[in-house]
This record gives sequence, C-alpha cells and structure tokens, in this order.
Amino acid sequence: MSEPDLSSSSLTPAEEPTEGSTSRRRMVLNMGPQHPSTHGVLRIILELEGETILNATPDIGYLHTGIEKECEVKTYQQVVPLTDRVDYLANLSNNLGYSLAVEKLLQLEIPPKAQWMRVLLVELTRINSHLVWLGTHAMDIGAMTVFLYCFREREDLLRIFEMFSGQRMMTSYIRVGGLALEPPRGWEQAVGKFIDAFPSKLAEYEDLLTKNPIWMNRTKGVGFLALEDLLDCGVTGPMIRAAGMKWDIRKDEPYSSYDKFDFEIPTREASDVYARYEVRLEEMRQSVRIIRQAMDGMPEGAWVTSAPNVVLPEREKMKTQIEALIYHFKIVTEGFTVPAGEAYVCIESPRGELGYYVVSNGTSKPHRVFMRTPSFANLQALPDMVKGRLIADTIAALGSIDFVLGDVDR
Amino acid sequence: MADSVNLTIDGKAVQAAPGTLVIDAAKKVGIEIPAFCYWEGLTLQAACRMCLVEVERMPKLMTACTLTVAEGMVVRTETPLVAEARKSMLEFVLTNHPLDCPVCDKGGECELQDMTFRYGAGEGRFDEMKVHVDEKQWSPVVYFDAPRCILCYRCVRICDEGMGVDALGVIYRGVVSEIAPNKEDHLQCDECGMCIDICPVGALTSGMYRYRTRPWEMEHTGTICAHCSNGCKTTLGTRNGQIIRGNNRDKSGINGEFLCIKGRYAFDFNSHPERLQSPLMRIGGKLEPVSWSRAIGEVARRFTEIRERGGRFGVVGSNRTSNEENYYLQKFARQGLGTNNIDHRRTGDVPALIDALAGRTGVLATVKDVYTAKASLVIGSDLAQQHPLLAYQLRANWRHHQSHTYTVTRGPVREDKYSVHGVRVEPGAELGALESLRDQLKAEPELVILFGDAIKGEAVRRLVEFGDSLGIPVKYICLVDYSNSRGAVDMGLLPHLGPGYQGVENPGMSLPEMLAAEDLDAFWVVGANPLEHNKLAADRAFVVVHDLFLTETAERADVVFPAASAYEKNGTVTNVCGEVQHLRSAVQTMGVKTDLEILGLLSKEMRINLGMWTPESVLREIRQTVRGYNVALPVIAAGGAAQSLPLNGRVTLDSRPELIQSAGDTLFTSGTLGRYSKTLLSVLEYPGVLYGEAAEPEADRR
Amino acid sequence: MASKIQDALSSAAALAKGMGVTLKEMMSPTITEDYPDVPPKFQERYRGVHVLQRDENGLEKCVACFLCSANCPSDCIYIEAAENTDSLRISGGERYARIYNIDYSRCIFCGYCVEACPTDAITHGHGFEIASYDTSTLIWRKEQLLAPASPRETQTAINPPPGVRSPV
Repeated sequence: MSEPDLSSSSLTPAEEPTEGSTSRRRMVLNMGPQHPSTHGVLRIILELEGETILNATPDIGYLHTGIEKECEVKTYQQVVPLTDRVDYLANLSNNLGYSLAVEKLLQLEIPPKAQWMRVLLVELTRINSHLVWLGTHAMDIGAMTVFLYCFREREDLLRIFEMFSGQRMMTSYIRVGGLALEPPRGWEQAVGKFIDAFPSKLAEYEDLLTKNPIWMNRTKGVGFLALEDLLDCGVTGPMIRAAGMKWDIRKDEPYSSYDKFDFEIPTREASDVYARYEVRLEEMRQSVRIIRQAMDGMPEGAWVTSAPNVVLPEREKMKTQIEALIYHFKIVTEGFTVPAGEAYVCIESPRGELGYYVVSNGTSKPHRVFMRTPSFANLQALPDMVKGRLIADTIAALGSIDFVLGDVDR
Repeated sequence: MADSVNLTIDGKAVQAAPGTLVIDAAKKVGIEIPAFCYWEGLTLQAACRMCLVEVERMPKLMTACTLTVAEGMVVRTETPLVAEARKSMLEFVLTNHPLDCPVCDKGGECELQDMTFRYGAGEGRFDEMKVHVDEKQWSPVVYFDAPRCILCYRCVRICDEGMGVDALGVIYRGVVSEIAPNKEDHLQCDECGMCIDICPVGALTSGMYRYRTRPWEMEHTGTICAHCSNGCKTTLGTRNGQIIRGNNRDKSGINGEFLCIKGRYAFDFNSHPERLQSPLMRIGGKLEPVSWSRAIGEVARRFTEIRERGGRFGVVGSNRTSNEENYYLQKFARQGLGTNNIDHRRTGDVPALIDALAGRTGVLATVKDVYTAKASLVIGSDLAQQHPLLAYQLRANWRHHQSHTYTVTRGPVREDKYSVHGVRVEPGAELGALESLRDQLKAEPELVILFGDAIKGEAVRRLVEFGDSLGIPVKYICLVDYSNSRGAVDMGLLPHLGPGYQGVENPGMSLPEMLAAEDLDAFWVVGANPLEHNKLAADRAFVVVHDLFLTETAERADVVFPAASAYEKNGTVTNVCGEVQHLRSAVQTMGVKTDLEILGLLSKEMRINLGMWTPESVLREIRQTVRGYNVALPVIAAGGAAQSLPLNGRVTLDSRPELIQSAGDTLFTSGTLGRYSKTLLSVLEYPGVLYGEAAEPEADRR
Repeated sequence: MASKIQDALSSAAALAKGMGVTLKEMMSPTITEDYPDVPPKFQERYRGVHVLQRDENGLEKCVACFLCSANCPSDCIYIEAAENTDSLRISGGERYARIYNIDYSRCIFCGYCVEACPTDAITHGHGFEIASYDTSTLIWRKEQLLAPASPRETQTAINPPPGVRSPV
C-alpha cells in the first residue's frame, strides 16, 4: 500500500474528470490524528469517492514512546513499570508477558499461589479491557448509555487493582518472580462481590445492544474479512475467533497454569463487527468463570518465588539479618543478573497474542526487549476491511479491532 | 627445576612458573577464586579462608592463596563442597557484621557485599545481639568502625609493607581482635589513605568522602594529580561539578594502586571558597572585579603599547600548567612580545643532565625502572617526603626483588630502613661521598641514580662521569618538584633555552634578574607566586597574574585572570621521568578560563597570530616541533604514559646553577597550592603526625 | 409482509427491553463521586505523594542511603547526604539527607522507592492534588515531603517552614 500523494491540498482531484462524465472526484481525507473515534492519536488517510472508501492507510507513530529502547537502560525489574505503559488498558497482561519471559531466562519456578493470582488478575484485566472496548465502541456507533454502564463496572475493577497494587492503571503488580506485594486483606470479598454482580450487568449490556435494530444494522456484515486474509495480516485474538478459528494461547500453549482451568473458547463464523462483539461478550463470561475457579481453588503458600538473587528479601528479614540486607541492597542498586540467552513468551492478552522477546547478555539490564503487540498486527487488517465501504463503517470497523495506540507504537 | 609446571584447574590445563600460587594460576586462565585477604604484592595471610579449593589427593580443602602449583595437580573451584565452604565462611564473617549497609560509605562497591551476593546465603541464621564498638577517628583522614572489619589485615600489611610506615597493628585476640594504630589512639603516618582504599569493607573510611554520596551517583574522570612531579594517575569522582573523591582503585597509570595524601585527598583546593571567579583589575588602587573582555582588552592594550615603545617584559611561567600552555606562553613571549625574558621557578637541573647524556639511548629511567632495577642510588633527596611514588616503587622493588638501595643524604631518610648502605654527608659533599660506594656499586648489575637539587651544574656532568666509570648500565632521574616542572623545562620556559632544549640567541633575564630589574615595564606571571618571599623592584611595572587564588603576587597585580586548575583542563603534563600523560577535565568552576584560553584570547586581542589555541592543536605542534616529544598519541589518549626522549644534542647551559633550588616540600605541603587545601592543612596541624624527625633507631632492617 | 411486521415487532421489543434497563438504572442509587466537594476515598495501598516519615523521637527516618534513587526507574529523586553531629542530629542513623528532592514532573508513582527503603522512611501518602501551572514548582523539597513533626519533637529537627503545604 503506497501512501497517496499529499503534496498539494487534501482536496486535490486525484484524476481529471473525464469528458462527459458527471463530476465525480476522488478526494483524500485525513481521519485523525485528533479524531475521537480513533481512540488515540491514529491518523487514517482515506481516499474517497463520495462516501465510498477507495483506500485507507493507517499512519502510526504519533504515540511512539521509545519504550522498547528504554528497556535497555533499565534493570530487569525497572522495566516492569514500562510494560504497564505499553498497552494501558491491559497493564497486568503486559506485566505478565514480560515477567514470564524473564522468568524463562532465569528458569524460575513460580509458586502456585502466585500463578493462580496472576491468572485471576489478568482475567480481571481482560474484563476491564473489554469493558472499555464495549463502552467506547458502542458510543462511537451512537449508544451513549452503554458507555456509562461499562465505565461504572470498570470503576469497580480499577478499585480492585488499586486495592492490590496501589494504583488504578499503572499497577506494576506482577513482577519477575511473582507478585509485587502480598494480596491485600479482603481481596476475596472485593473480587467476589464483583464477579457475583457482573454476569447480570453483562445481561444488561446484551439487553441494550444484542437485539437492538440500530446496533445490528450498523454492525452486521460490516468490517468483514475472510479468515485467510486476517491470518495473512497476523491478526490474533477475538478477531480470528470471530472468523471461526478456535485459537487461544491460553488453551493451545497454556502458561501460568491456565491448563488447570476449565473454560470455553467462544467462536463465531461471520467475521464481522457483530461477531466480534459476540465473541468478546462471551469472553467476559468465560473470564468470570476462570476468576471464580481461581478464587475457589486458590492454593496456599508463597506469593513470590524463593530466589534470593532475584527477589527482594522479606522486609522483616531485611531489617534484622545482614545477609538479607546485603541481598536487598545489591538487588536494588544493581539489579539481578540474567543468564545470557534469549526467550520469547507469548500470552493471550485481551487483544490477541502478546509476545515478549527478551535478549540477555548476562548483565543486569536487558540487551533487547521486543514486544510483539497484538494491536500492531490487528490494525493492519483495517484497510482491507473498509475498502469499498462507507466512512461510517470505518468507525464501526475501527472499534471492532480494539487497538490501543500505545500498544501499536510503543 | 623445570621452567613451568602443568596442572589442571576446573578441567582447564594450566602452565605456570614454579612457585606460582594457585589463585594466580587460576586467574591466568580466567577462573576467579574469591578472596578477601589475598592482595597481589603483599605477604600472604590466609586469614579470610574464602579461597578454599578442592585439590585431588588432599584430604581437606586448601587455601588457594598459599598453595603453590605442583606438577599434575588437579584443582576444582566450583564443587558443591567448595560452594558450601564459601557460604559458611561468609556466614562466619557476617556473624558480627552490623546492619550498616544503608549508612556505610562502602555500600555499592563493597567486596563483602559482592561476595555475599555471589557466594553467600540469602538469609542469616543468627539473631543474637552483635558486639558493638564505637567508631573511632584516628586522624583527620582515617575513621575506623571496628564491627564492620573482617580482619583481613590488608590495611596492616599495606601500611607496613607497601608504605613502610607501620602505623597499624592488631590488638586483642579471638573474637574481640581489632585493628588499631600502633601509636596510642591516633595514627602517626603519611595519611596516604592506602588502608582506606584497600579495605574490602567499610571499616576504614575517609574524612573527606564520608557520607557524601554513593559510587553510582558519581562520574569518574581519570586524570593526573596536580601536586608533585611523580605524575600519579588519580580517578576523580565528581558529582554536580564538585570533586568528591580521588583514588586509583583500577590500578591504572604508572602508579598502580599507589596514591599519597595529595593525589587522594588534596583535591579540595579546587573548591576552596577563595577561588577567584572573575577577572580583577586595579581601579583606583584597588582590585575590582571586571568582565573578561575588559580585562583582556586592558592587558592587550598595555602590552601592545609597551611592546611598541620597546619596553621590557618579564614573563614567568608555571610548574603546574600543562605542556600546551607552557609552549604557548613561551611562543607568546618570544614571538608575540619579542622577549627572551622568560623563566620559571627551577627546581632541578634537567638541562645539565640532558647535556651530559647527549647522544645516548636508554639512560633516562622511567617510574617502572625504579621498580625493576637491580640497584638504585638516591642522592640528596628525601624521597619518601618529596617523591612518594618513586619511594613506593623503590620499596616495592626491595620487597619483591630484593633490590639494593644506596642513599647519600644530608639526614636520615626512610629509605635507610632497607638500604644496603646509607651515607650521611654535609651539603655540597654528595659527589665526594660517592667514592666510598664505588666498589659496592661496581658489583651491581645495573643502577638507577635519582638525584635532587644537590647535584646541579657541573656536578651533573661529574655524576654522569662517575656513572660511566662504574662499567655497568646506569639510568638517571633528575628530581624536580611539581606536576609539570619537567614539562616547563622541556617546553622552554627558560631565558636561554627554547622548546626541546634548543639554545636561543640573546638569552633573556632569569627570574631573580626580572625581580631585581628596576626598569621592567611589564611583569607577567602565569600560575606562579614569585613574590611570596621576594619584592618586585620595578614599582611601576604593569603586573598581570593568572592564578586560582589571590596570592601575594596576585595582590601586587594590575590585572588578575582567574585560571582553571589542572583538574579543570585538558592537555598533557610531563612527570619527573619525562613521561607524558593526559590531563582530563573533571569539573568546571564558574567564571574561570584555562591559561591556554586566556593566552589565546590575549593573542587574538593583540592581533598576534600564534596558531589555534586548543589543547589538541598545540599538542600537534609540540609533537612536530619539540625534540623528543613525538610521543605515541594512542598511548597518551588511552591513559598511558609515553616517555619523551629529548636526548639529541648538546645543550647550552646556564652558568648559574645556584638558580636551581628545590622548594623542599614534604608529604603535607605543596607550594602555594597546598596552602589552599584544607586536608593538607588539617594533617599538618593534627598532633602526632610530625613525621620524619628521624627513622627510629630500632627500625627493623629486614 | 409478514416478516416485515415480525421484524418491526421484534425490533420494538428489543428497544423496549433496552429502555427497561435504562429505566431500572434510573431508579438505582447514584454512584458518582462529588469530588472536589467530597474528598475521594482511596484504597489503603494508594500510591500518592510521598511522605518522609519520622521515628518515635521525631527524628527523620531517612539516613540518605540513596537506595530509593537507585531503584527509581524515572530517576526523579535527588539526595545529598551529610553527617549527623552531636550538636545537630537530624536522623536516627549516622547520616541524614541534607537535601531530598522529588521531581514530580518525572515521578511515575510506581512505588519502587518505597520498596527499596530499608528504614521505612519514604512512604506513599494519599495526596494527589499536585497539579501546577509551573513545572518548576513540581520539584518538592524535603521540607514539603516530611511528615508533620510530633509535639515531642526535639528542637534540632527541621520544622516544615510556615506556608508549606502538607502533602497529606
């Protein structure tokens, strides 16, 4: 896809009107980078003929933060807060992906409680992310009410994250070696209350949208792309599941004890905006199921692994034993060293395959951290989805991709 | 005895010379055996027992630091047994170690921390009360916190063996053993700080660096010490434009681990509150701060005016400015002002030595030669006081190679402790006394002669003749006082010699002549203090001074330029052995300029074209034009020392050797600069450190 | 025709169902928080503006060990250490922080400094209203970060200067 020539004004006729024809003009329209429905600073260059889209070129990079590069000057544990900021709607998923990659290099065994807790937290993150998606997606299409309800539930989730970690979004709660802090007092009640109430809320969203004729008209048959085309673009996650492919890393390459949980992978065949909506809604139900299992079967034991050279010692020991104090001092000031090597770990983030590729040169700082972010790959499917459709369908298609610009640009 | 012994360490075949220690043999093939008490160059202690290794057919673990290699020996350093032994030793060492890491200065560069993190357990098993002993201050420089000490004896050994001072010892026994000064409750020593830098933990800390910052917060710049002529490399740790500490822990440079108090702690003159930070000009009889442009303009105007009416200039260079500055200054004086009235304070008769040795090669000794030569002869100098690095090298040579040292001095010196023969002479009788050593010296395979200002003028030629008559290879070092005294001579800050000892037509006035000349029109002093003890006879002379402080000379000046110190500039300096090393700017002080920049700006203002005034371009010119200074740039740039060899031709000599006079600085003084170092002043005043009265009569002769 | 009518009916039913949800929500209590009229509630672990704690004698807990600034991913803590003397005792340890600045235009409130602190001196308070029109005011000095001195506090410890807004 080559970028259209924008050297002159955006209303330049792309081809001279032929004699005798009605005066139909091609025009180029910049959608974004400051457009509410692009959910961040994304610019889409639309080539239009009337309302029909001839071509759409996403122009990314407006949110490029250099996070991948910055990882190279931070110690391994200091990278965790950076991963929070990659996909800022799925912070804990990013924490987890990165931690798993470093733990693979370190060959750390993570205690069951930490693994269960991680599963619980990333599933809450999935619900959180899908709620933001549903709310904003529905609002883009015109359903304002859903937005408010979704954000109400999200508020509960953010409180839970704050309860665990101290911050609502940038949690940095999942760390290399386990969790940052012991799970707080009363977390069972807080999480339990939420998942007890949440299915009925989900039903409410369905009442508002699923059968709603406006919703159906705006979404059914819109943004269709065949499964092969999606796979060619490297699309993963709910989008390919809505095209009939039963692929979910939690099931197919289980990590962090996902194989011990019982849940379904929802799929649809239509591969349109409506099918993606149905898949994501069903995923939230499955997440609730996983969270409930995690709470019921939460193992006893440590919430961090026992690796004195990696994990900070218990605070009580650090204050009373010189050995623990020295380890604390060294880990804090120099960080732990990771054996030279490379590791790729991918997890199923709310958006699809989130991969962390970490290269270590044996020092306490990563040589390279590459993030295979789902948003970047998923966004590539956009042009083919909207070609030949109307501008209004772009909004619906964009929303159904559910990308996060921080995740695209990093 | 075979030439080499074959052994296996961790499966690697190793060849080592007989007598090599296993710990050194392992290091050769890249296997690190941890140790606290082992220190290359010091006697063996085997006190810490961290270096235990498994040796085949030995019933127990062996200490690698005392075990010499043997044919067919099989050593293993990474077995579970060894790991367990290390872990247990660390646990033992940490039993009484206080939880001081957060407040301890060593935190972050502590060997005990490193070892514990690598080899130790992550948790302790002891929760008993620890024995507490209060911290003690032994001198303005040295503080001691006994509970942190792991009794590795490194400090005791470096003080006794390395420095020859023997100020530290161990008192009590068993669990309450403690390092203590040998002189009651304070140190009677050189205050060199070697014990502090060699300490693997934070038991010995320095008064200057104490609680100031953390190692990772500092930037480090390797440069050359600004004080004496030995040219030790010192790594300055700076933070926020302040020098926090100096050390040479990386053992780089010509001095290895060695630094005396000046290199390690006397950097504080740089941030002295009396530092000049603005040009001063005499307005209405008083020195007032003015702008740089006004000061430069005024000096340029007056100099031009004096030059045009054919007035007399007197130019005095410095013993501490860089080679580039010295070269540029003499070029300024000779080409720009048209005068040969240029001089500096002469502290050793280098031209006479260069002349006497003309045409020979391999006769100028380096600092390393002092460590490797089989025999050395010190004439007329208290080496330990005035040339601490050379003294350290000499002592190390005796310790490691049993070299022979001869001294011919006016009074007792520290070298007497190990010298083969020490001769006491009246001043002026040094040469005559050599005859009594002739037979002994003749028997030596080689000799390095170090001579001070007692040998000058014709005496230098006679000394070289004496050396020739011995029939053995002899190398010479002419001892000079300050960081670039040698460079000042090499660069031609002399009325009769230009750069590279090339004679000039119409030699100018020497420094005393300038001071005495009543008709001097301009007196220009760049980084010196000639009026400290003298008066300028020319009352009406226009006096320009570059200096860091308002010295006696600066107070007499009409214009004072605030100059940058050696720690604030780039360039090269030449040490006492003629070794050229690189100065690197570590900090900046607001308002000052380097002497080179001041000279350049002045030349520009006076419309004199003397070439570019960057250190690089001047060094290029020096390398191309000054004899013997075509030194290898990569060596210097990489922080090494390259010896300049100006031995190619006879030198016009000044007929007045009496102008050469060493300042006779001690370990705790450093000319005018030393007066502005609080550290040096504090140790001068501290009771009990008046070192150097006499070598104690019962001093052990080993 | 029949299908069209059926369509219309089912659409109307779906819309009615949706309106029902909206109606039901209208009856349920409001959950909107009335900030700034009502102060917001925080979880116990909330990571707000830092507080430098004092010990039971009113001395500062911070011993200027630099661990917080070493662990800080955004490099926002600046410390200068100095030694306690008998006449001027600021902290419980041998040394204290002569200068302790946090640059809130850099701080990301990740809590790494709190984890690193071996003396529990630096903690996260619940303060968050630090927005400013002038970024230079976002560098907070030790006096602004210190917990209020207790009445039993000794004379030697530094009192927050008058007019300095307490972070909590």
